[in-house]
Amino acid sequence: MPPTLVHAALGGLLAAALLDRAFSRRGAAVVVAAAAAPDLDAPLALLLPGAHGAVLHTFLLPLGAALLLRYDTRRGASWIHGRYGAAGVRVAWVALLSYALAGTGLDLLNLDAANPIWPVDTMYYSVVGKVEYTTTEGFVQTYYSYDPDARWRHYVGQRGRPPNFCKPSLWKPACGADDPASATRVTEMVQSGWQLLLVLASPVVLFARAWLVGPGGDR
Amino acid sequence: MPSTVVHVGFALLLAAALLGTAYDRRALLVVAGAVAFLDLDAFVALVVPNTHRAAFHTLLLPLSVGTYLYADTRLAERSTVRERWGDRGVRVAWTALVAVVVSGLGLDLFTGSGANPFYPLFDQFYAFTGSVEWSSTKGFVQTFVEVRPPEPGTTVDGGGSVDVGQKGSTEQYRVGTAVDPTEGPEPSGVERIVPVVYAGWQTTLTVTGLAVTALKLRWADSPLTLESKEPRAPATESPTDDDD
Repeated sequence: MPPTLVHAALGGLLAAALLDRAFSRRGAAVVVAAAAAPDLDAPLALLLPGAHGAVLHTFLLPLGAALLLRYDTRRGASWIHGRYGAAGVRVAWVALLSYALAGTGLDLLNLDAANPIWPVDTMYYSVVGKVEYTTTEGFVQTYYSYDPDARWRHYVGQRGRPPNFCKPSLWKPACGADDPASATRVTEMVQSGWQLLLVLASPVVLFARAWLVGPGGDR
Repeated sequence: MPSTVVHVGFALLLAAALLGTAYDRRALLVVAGAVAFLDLDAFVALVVPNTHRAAFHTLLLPLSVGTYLYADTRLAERSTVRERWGDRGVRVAWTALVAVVVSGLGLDLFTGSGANPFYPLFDQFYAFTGSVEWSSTKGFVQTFVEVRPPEPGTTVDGGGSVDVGQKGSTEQYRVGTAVDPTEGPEPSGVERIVPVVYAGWQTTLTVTGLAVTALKLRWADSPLTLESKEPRAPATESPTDDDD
C-alpha cells in the first residue's frame, strides 16, 4: 500500500485546505495523524492474522465516528464543543475525512488492497481500472467485468480473503503460518514519482499556510 | 499520465490550502484554468512536432510570470496587478502559479511519461520516478537517482552516468495525445485515446480535490471561515459571496 508517509502527506494537504480558522499546529497534527492511523493495523496483524488492511481500514470505523460526532454536535450540550470549542468540531470532521480519504481511500484505490467493510466481510478489494474513450473502441471501462468462467464472476477488484490473501509488512514480512525469522523485512517510504511530489509538496504547503495566517493576520 | 481532470482536481486541493481569504468560485476558476491551460500544448504539437509536455510544460513560463508578479507587487512603486485586482488578485495569482508548478507541471514531471521542464532552453524530457525503501538486508535503497560509476579499463564512452529519468529531447521522444497520437500526419483510422478516469491514486487525488471544494464552499458561512473575523476593509467590502 502507499507508505504511511504518503498518507500523512495527503492528510497534511487536507489540513491546510479545510481547517480555516481552526488551523493550528495541534489541529493539523491531529488531521495528519488521522491519515496515518489506519496503517497501525499492520503491527496488529501480529496478534490478529489478517488484520492488516482490514481492521483499521474499514470505512465502518469513520462512519461510526461520524455518526457519533453528528449526534454529539447536534444535541444541546455538545461535549466536544464544550471541551475544544468550534475549532475542535472542525478539526474532528476534517480528521474523519482525512482518515477515510487519505488513510483508507488511498489504499483501497490501489493495487495494494484494503477491506472497506471489515468485519462484515473479509474480502480485500483493489479498485483499479480506467474509463477512456478511443476512436476505435468507443468508451471502455475496466472497473467491472463479467465472466462466468473466471475466478470472480462479477469482478470489481476482489483480491481474495485471508489466509490466502495476505499483505506483507515490516512487522510480518512473510505471509502464511510459517513465519521465518530470516525473511527480509522491507518498508517502503516512497513508491513512485507522484508520491515523492506529494511528500515534498505537503510540508511546503503546510508551512505556507501557517505563514500566511501568521501573527500578522491574513495577508 | 494524469489527465487534465486529475491536474485540476489536485489543483483544487492546493487552491483550498493556499487561497486563504481569497477563496471563492472565481478564484477557483482562475486556478483551474491556469492548470488546464498547460495541457493545451497538445495542440501546439500539431504545429511544432512532439511539443506536448514541452511547449507549455516548461518552468520558464511560471518563472517569468512569477518574476513579473514579484517585481510588480514588491519592487515597483505602483503595482498594476494590485490596482486592477486588489490584494485578492495578488493572492490568486500566486496560488495559480504554485498550482501550475506543482499540479500542472509537477504531476507530469513525476510520473512515467515525463515533461520537458526547461524547454526550449534545454530540450530534454524528464520523468522523475523511482522508490525509496528500507529493507533488513539492503538497508536504505532509493532508485530516483541512479549513479553508475565509470567502468575501469574502458576508454571510449566508458564514463559513468547519472540517471535521473532523462527520456530524450523532442527529436527523440514524444508523448502522444488524442489530438496528436503519432508523429507527423496521422494515417486514417489511427486510434485516438481520451483518458477519462484512471482509478487508483489519480482518482483519490481528484475525489479529494472535489470533496474539499464542496466542503469549503459549504462551510463558507461558518464562523470559522477566514473571512469572517473583522474584514480588512469593512467600508468597501460588499456582500458578494452570499451565493451559498
